[in-house]
Amino acid sequence: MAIEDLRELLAEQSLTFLAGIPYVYHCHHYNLFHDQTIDDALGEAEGARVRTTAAHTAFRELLGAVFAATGATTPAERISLATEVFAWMGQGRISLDVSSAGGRARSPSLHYGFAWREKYGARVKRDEPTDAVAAGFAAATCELAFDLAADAITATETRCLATLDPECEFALTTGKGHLSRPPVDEATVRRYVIPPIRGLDEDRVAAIASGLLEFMRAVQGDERGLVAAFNVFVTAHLPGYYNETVYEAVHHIERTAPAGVAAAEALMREAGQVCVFNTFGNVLLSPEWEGLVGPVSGVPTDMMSFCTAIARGLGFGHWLVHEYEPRKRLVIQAASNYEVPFYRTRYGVAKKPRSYFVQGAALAMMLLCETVKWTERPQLTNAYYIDLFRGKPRYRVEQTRCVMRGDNLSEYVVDAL
Amino acid sequence: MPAMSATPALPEPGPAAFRLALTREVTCIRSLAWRTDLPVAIERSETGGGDPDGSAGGAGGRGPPPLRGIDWPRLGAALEAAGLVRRPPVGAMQRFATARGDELSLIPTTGRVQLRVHYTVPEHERRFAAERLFQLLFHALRRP
Repeated sequence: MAIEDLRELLAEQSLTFLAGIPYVYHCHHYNLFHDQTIDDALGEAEGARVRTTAAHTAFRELLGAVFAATGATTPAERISLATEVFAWMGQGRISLDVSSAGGRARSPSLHYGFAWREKYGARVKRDEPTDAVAAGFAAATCELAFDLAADAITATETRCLATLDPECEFALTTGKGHLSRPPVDEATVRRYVIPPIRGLDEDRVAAIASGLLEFMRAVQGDERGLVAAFNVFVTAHLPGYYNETVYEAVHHIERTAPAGVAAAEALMREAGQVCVFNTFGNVLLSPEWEGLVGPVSGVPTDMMSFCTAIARGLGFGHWLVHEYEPRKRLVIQAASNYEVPFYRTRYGVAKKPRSYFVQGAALAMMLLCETVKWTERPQLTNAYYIDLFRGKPRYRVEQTRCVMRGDNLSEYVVDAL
Repeated sequence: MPAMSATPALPEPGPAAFRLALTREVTCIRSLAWRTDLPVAIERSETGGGDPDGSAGGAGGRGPPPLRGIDWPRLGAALEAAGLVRRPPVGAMQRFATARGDELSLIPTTGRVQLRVHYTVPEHERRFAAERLFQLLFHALRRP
């Protein structure tokens, strides 16, 4: 069975699944920033541990479902299929030389290491490896190939493109084992979505989102397992990875340093801002967008519709613009998003709104639609990002309703200060 | 951003005079994507010098000259003849790739052309790779 045939689309919710496990698209700017955010919140060593564990759990879930769906049973079949899935996702092409006791893995082209070197390599010296996602993948693959218990294998990256090694290498050793987590699959996700609602400019948003979803269906890793599209490197990625890292980090800070919670939550929100600035921004300015939709007009109401369509097209869920008054107020609602099912399944009902990613994204959508001169071909540089987001605050965001908290809808209100 | 290099106006025979400029594309990945813009519709010169076979009229003094755009199908065929491989289109965007994976993306409705150097090309060689693609486009445009 071809990997493409394992995809499913819950169209009315703009949610995508691979073998019944949710996946979304994020670019390298977001992925690198997300990982840095986790390390900033927890410190490098603990951050790397949490990221590797999250990837391990997420890929165990995905690969277990893939193997079940395809009937792959032998270690060779499973390892081969797993590496093809990893490359198809744009995560890179990796080779594993493993037994039930562990072994080694190596790759000349992993998304994180390659993109980090591409983005920062000329300016920043890095000492720590970047590829926790590949490490978690390698450990999960080895375990499932040999029918081992969860966490029977531990993977550590020993060489990395980002630290100027010629390729990435991983050592896989036996681990201690831990209790497996409840899966977040399509059935789980369906429990935490509400019937889709029509938003402003709904027909146009839905049509563009549908076109983007169709375009993304054809996107897959090249011979190196990487995807270059929309002027960025793109990955199909597992929400379980993003969510576990974010919520484990925030909960850890809540337990150990409550005074730092506000700062940690602001960091997590900023990851949403970075996504909208880089991913949405590069999509809007790309020739692919121009070919699919046409050149951007720069009119704020158009741009808001476009951003909402992009969120849906990347599989982020059914976002909609409930209210928009340029330069004053924006109300985004979500009948579904990729944060809610994970949180409710793993942690139960939240005591406060915790959809940090969409909070940051909503604020960034307001700023981008109001401020960026789209028709003048802006360069989406780091300096421009700092100018937009770290100057004098112009807007504030508040999540007023949250399905994680038990509300019937998620709602994000952006007001001018 | 200023043009990195400019090509003189296309000589006769061929479309009416216009200039091509190669600039860096809107991108955060260093020097991988470049851009040039082709005219969607070109007004021919008053002397009719841009008309390759004289059939379109346009001699001075006989009313406003007709508009003439890039012949996109012919450009696509010329790119293929030059060794590029046509890839599946993305909406209105036509795509052509070299054997190494460098891409030319053409959007006839807006005239935008993106020249995307493959990411395996070392950064210090990307500008030259883009210029080679640019030359390839230029020669395809001049092809009778």
